[in-house]
Order: sequence, then C-alpha cells, then structure tokens
Amino acid sequence: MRLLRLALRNFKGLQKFVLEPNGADIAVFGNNATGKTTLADAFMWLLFDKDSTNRKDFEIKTLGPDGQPVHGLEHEVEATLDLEPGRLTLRKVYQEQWTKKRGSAAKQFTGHITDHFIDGVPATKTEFTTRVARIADEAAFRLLTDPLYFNAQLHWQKRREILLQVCGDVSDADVIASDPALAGLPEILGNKTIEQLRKVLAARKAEINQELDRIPVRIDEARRGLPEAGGDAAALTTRLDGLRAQRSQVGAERLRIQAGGEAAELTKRLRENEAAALLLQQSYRVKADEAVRETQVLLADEIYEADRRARDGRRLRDEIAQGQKDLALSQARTQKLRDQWHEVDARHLTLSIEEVCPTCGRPLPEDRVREAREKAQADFNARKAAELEEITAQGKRLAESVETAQRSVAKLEAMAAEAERDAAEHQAKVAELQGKVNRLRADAPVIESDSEYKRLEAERHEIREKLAKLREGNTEALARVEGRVRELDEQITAAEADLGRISQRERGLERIKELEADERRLAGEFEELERQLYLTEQFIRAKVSMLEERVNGCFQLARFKLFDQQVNGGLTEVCEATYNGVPYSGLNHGGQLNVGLDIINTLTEHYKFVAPVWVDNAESVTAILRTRGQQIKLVVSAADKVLRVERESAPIKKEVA
Amino acid sequence: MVDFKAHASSSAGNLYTVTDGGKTLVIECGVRFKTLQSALGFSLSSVSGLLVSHAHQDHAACIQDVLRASVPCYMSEGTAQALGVAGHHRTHILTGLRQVDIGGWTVLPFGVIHDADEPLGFLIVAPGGDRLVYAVDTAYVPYRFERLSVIAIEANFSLDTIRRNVASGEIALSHKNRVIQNHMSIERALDMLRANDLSQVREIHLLHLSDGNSDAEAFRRQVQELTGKPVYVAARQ
Repeated sequence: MRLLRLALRNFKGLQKFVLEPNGADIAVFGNNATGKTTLADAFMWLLFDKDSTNRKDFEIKTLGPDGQPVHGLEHEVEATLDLEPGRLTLRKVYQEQWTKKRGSAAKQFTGHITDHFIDGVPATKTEFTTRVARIADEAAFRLLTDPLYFNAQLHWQKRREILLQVCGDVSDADVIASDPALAGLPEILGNKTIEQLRKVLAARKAEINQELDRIPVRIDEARRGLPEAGGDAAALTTRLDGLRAQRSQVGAERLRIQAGGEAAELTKRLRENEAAALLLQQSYRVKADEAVRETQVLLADEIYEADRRARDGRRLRDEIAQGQKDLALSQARTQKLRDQWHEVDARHLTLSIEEVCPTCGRPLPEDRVREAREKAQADFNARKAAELEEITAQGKRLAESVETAQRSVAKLEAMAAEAERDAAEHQAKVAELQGKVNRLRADAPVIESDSEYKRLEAERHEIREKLAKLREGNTEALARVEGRVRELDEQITAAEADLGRISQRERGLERIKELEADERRLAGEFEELERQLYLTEQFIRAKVSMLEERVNGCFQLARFKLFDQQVNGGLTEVCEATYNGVPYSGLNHGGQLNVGLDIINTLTEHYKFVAPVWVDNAESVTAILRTRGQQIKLVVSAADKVLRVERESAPIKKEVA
Repeated sequence: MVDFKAHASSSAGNLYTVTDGGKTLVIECGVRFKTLQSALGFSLSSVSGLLVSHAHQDHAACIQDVLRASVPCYMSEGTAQALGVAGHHRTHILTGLRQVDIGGWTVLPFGVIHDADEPLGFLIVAPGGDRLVYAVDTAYVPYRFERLSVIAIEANFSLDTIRRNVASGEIALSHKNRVIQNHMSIERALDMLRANDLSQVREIHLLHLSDGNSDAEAFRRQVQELTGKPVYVAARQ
C-alpha cells in the first residue's frame, strides 16, 4: 500500500493541507509545531480513530488563540491509497452537531457526529471499518507504519511472541537433538516444560536442603544421647539368664525356709514320737492291771463286806439306842404310875352331908344322915379301889412291856456286837489285800526301763533339741538366703541396666545409622537434582544460543537479547533489541529509528504487506535504512515556517496499477 | 587397576580421584563444589570417601559442601580443627601411621612437612591390591614405600629456577624460603624416587607444579630419565 494523496481540513490546527506523495518517498520539512506529526496523526485517525502514538482521545479540533476549540467547523481527512492493485479513497468528516429545539430561539450543542465516505460514497461506520480491516489488521498496520511502535509501545512478551512467530521458534526437541549431553532430558522432563521442571527441582532441592540441615543436628543429638555402655550383649544376656536362674532357686529356698519345711517335719516326728510313747505307757499300765486284778476283786469284795457289816453294826446300835430310849420312857411311866397309886391311895373322903332338908330346912333324921354318911364312904372307897386297881393293872402291863423291851435291847446288843466283829474281820482282810495289791503293783515291770520307751524318749529329746536349734538357726538361714536374694537382685538389676544401656546404645547407633543412610540417600537425590538442574541449564543455554541465532538471522541491524542470565545461574526470558551491543533503550533516536525500520522490513516480509512508513524526527538520522514500504519522513527544519514537501523517489505511475 | 586422575593441581585448587573397579576415592577438594560435582559427573553420592591432606583452601575449599553431600571425609585432627568440621558426623579423624578402611580401600596416612596443622600424605591400597602413594605440599617424603604401583607426588619447583628467580628479583627471598620449607622440589622428588623400589611402579604423576618456578617438560624428562616409567604432569586445572 502506498499513499497517493492526503488532504486535511481543519485538522489539529491545519486549516487546509494537501500532501501528494503520489506513492513516492517524500520528506516533509517544517519548524516545530508546523503540523508534521499532524499528518501522521491524520492518517492514523482516518484509518483507526487514533493518533500516531496510538491514543484514542486526542483533540482533533482546531484550537483558537484562547486554547478553546473553534466551534462549528468540519474536521476532515481524506486519503487516497494505492492498494496495488486498485485505489481507494477514504474520507472522514468530524463535526459538531447543533440542534434547534422546539420553543428555543438558539441552536444547542448536542454532540459530535462523524461521517464516513468510501470512494466518495457515504458509508456507515461499520462499513468503513470493515473496509479498512480488509486492507490490513490494525496491529500489523501499526507495526509496519511506525518504526518506534514495536520497541517502544509493545510489551516485551508481545515483542517476543511476534519475533518467535516471525523467525520461527526453536522446539525443545530441536534443542535436545542439538547436544548429545541433553539426550537424557526428555525422560526427566516427562510432560513438564523446562520451566516447570526447574521449579519442581528447585522446590525439591529446598525441601531436601531443609532435611539435610536437620539431619546433622539429629545425629548430634542422638550421639549425645548415647549412654556409656560397653560389654558384650550376648555374654551379658547369658550372665543375666544365669543370675535369674540362681535367683529363682534362692527364692524357692527362701520360700521353703519361710514355710518352715524342716521344722514342720521335725514337729510332725515329735508328735508321732509322743503318740508312740503314750501307746507304750498304756500297754504297760494294762499289763500291771492284769497282775493285780484278782486280788483287787477280792479286795473289792472285802471292802464291800466290811462296809456292809459296819453299816449293820451302826444300824443295830441305832436300834439299841432307840430301844433304850423307849425303855427309859416306860420306866419313867412306871414311876409315874407308882406315884399315881400312892397319890390315889393317900386320898381321903371329906364329907359335907346335908343334915337339914334342903327343901324344908328341918334337920334330917340321924340315921338317915349316918346312912347317908356310910354310903358316901363306901362309894368313895369303891372308886378309890377301882382307881388303884386300874393303876396297878397299868403298872403290871407297863412292867411287862419294859421287860420285853429289855430283852429286845439285849438281843440287839448281841447282834450289833456280832456285826461289829464281822466288820472288823473284813476290814482286816481289806488291809491285808490292799497290802497285797500294793505289793503286786510295786513288783510290776516299770516303763522307764523299757528299751523302746528309752529310745522314744531319747529321740524326743533329740527332736526337741533339733527344733530348738532349728528355730534359732532358721533366722540365720533366712537372713543368709535373704542376703543372697538381695545380692542376686542387685546383680540382676545391674546387669539389666547394663543390658538396657547396651540396647539403648545399640538403638541409638542404629538410629544414627538410619539418619546417616537417610542423609546419604538425600544427598544422592540432591546431587541428582543438581545434575538435572545442570542439564536444564545446559538445555536453556543451548536453546538461547539457537534461538538468538535464529532470530538474529532475520534482521539486518537489530540483534535481540532473548534471555537474561541471573545471578543464580538461571535464565529468564526477556526481549530487547540491541544495536551494536547497545540495548534499544540506550540508543539515540537515530539508532532507535533504524532498528525500528529494520524490524519493519522483516515484519513486512512476514506479513506480506507493505505500508507507508512514517518516520518522525527523521532529521536525527543521517542514514535512514531503506524500507520496502513508502517512507514519509517528517523532518524538523527551523527554516521552514510552513510545511515544505520534497519528493525523494519517482512517483508511481498510475498506469502500473 | 587403579586409575589416578588429577582434575586440578595447583595452588589455585587441587582435586584428584583414584578409581578402582567402580569405586572412587577423592583426594582434596580445593575447588568450587560445582567443579567437583561436574568433574565427578554428579556421582558424588557413590564416592567411598574424601581424603584431605591439610587445611589450606586450595585443598579443602568446598569441604562443607562435600560433608553436606554425605561423603565421609577423612583428615587429621589438626586439619579438622582448622577447617571447623571436627564435630561433623561425616568427619573421620586420621592418625599418622594408623591405617583405616574406607569402603574397601585401605589408607595409611603419614605425616608430611608443611606449614599447616598436622598435614598428611597417604599410602592408598586399592581394593584390587594396587598401591599408590600420594604426597603433596610437603618439603620431602619422610618414608619409604614398598611395592608401589602408582606414585603421585609434588614437584613444585626446581632449586635452580627458584634461585634464578630470586636473583632476578622476581620473587622475594622470604617467599623462596617459605616455598623451600613447605614444598617439594623436583630434586627432592627425584631423591624420593631413588630411595624407593620402583620395580612394580606403573606410572608416576607429578603434581602441584608452581607457575613460576617449574618447568613441566624438563621435570617430566628428568623423572623419565631416572625411572624409565611413564610420567604424567598434572594440568593446572
């Protein structure tokens, strides 16, 4: 595409200007603020509504001396393009819209409108932009028309992307294939990218590093925690087994002693001995009893008889005493009767006979009084005699009973004497038999001289002595056993402690070994990670050199720095153009322009689209790089108070198109 | 067959390896750790052990990294103290003339003469039976060895050269004296070779040549002429 004609009306202070390069390279001279850049802005505005620095909101209107826009003007840009083949005229008119509202005398500003024209025909905005887009995409347009755009406006990632697109990327496979040392990389890589792998490796390294930092501390701790212990664990175990066996034996012995073992045995034997002796004694007593038994029977009889006769005698004496008592009573009664008789006999009649009639009181006849007297005497005498007779009869009967009683007592006397004589005789016999029993008893064999009894007694004596000794010695034996138990327990505890220390030490050493093995394993893994990282670095270096070589081969002047070496040896992607080793940002304007034009040349090849290149501040470059696209140089020139155009190459012939 | 290799051998850094049937013993670590790693092809974890002759940086620069990489490191008490690694669990203390087993290698350390604390040289018996003596940074070798297969000794300077250099003012007298007292001259190296039975020696390595005071080619020729054995001069790096 080439610019044939660009006409401006009321655009950014240019009231009216027509640029007619007619497809040729031209240079536009002018002092500052004479409208050079305005030409570029107008071209961009017409196509994309933006100015030459890609701004959308910029003041199109012509400003008055007061800095305020002049109202009521039409702002217009028209360009005629040679599209090879074909020509296209685009026109855009921007103006204020003033509307007179009903009931209002004055028109009012209601906004701006833009009218579009394609080849003189009014078009909608959409039709217009669609037509422009058919020529080229806006981004490409910008890249190809503005030499500063690529390096100054694009983000470095976008730049990189375009470069790789244009020059062709280098695939990882290509890089790996370029160096045999990298052959192992795909396996390590799996389906990760190099960057992902590096991140994974770095993360794992950090992890391992932490662990590796901790392990020596742990080992040191384990070392310090190791108990002092020596000796052979197996020997110690054997010794401990022996000690335990001894301990169990001694324990059993102690139990036996505590339970009384021997003493109980002896006590039992003592009981048996005593029982045997008792039996022996009984047998002796039985034998002795057999010897005296007959005599004893006789003795018992005699004792019995003696007792019986003695009892008879005593009973008879009692009867005699009773008889004599009765006799004495009878004799007393006899005396009494004798006295009674004498009393009765001595009794005389004292008469008190009435000699006067009681009735009449006349003395009674004497005869009759004598007779009465005689008769009273006679009566008296008769009664006296009868009484005396009675008393004498009673006396006679009493005498008879006394005599009987006297005879009975005499008889009892004889019987008593006989019984007493018998008792005495039996008693004598009892004494004799008792003596005999005693003699027999005395003559019976004594147990004390029995040999068995003697043996039992000796044995009993011996057992008792033993028991006494045992009771005494038991405490000693127990104390001895207890001592042994304590000693063994102490030895066992000590041995167990030793063994414990040994096993603790062994565990500690085992732990240290494990830690050391861990460390060794981790160190190995760490080394492998470092090897892999080293590989990735080699890879990146190879890739860098391949990529930079490839990219730089696309350009005449520009060289690109695509990677930045970091302090840690890693690489980060960057994208900066350099020229003669100087980075773009450090280049002067001329250098920047030429680098930009170099890039435009390459991009023009890539996009297969040629566009006019606007070279602003062209005065700063002594040798401007040639481009395939039409160059429109904007040159600051103090002498030119108004724009002056110089044609630098032949105009294209219309007929060619 | 034991294979001795000098990866770096100068006052800028020393690193040697001895390999036998897959097992490797590293001697000295006076280089950057990364250098050591790539010299060993990132296989440090399979190394039997590291021997450090003394505490100078050109022999022990990356000792901490090697310890950290879990490699058992062997050195004298004096070296361990000077390097500050005496308490490390991978540090093993060597005592002169007391041999140790390092993963099948038998190493007999012996005292040497150098201005470091308790510097050592090593008689190394490989698992296969090959015998190698290593002595660097020592005024002379105070022992005699039998049935050696490989001799790796310092040939730091030549007395003639160093005298000339002092005369020309290139080096200070004090420096000369220090060198003479602490390093082995080619003349002393030749004495050492004369003093030993070389009948079974397969190769002789000359190590740690000084930049200014030595002549590698002349040294090599002198040793070849004396011994009739293959002589290798260790490259600087």
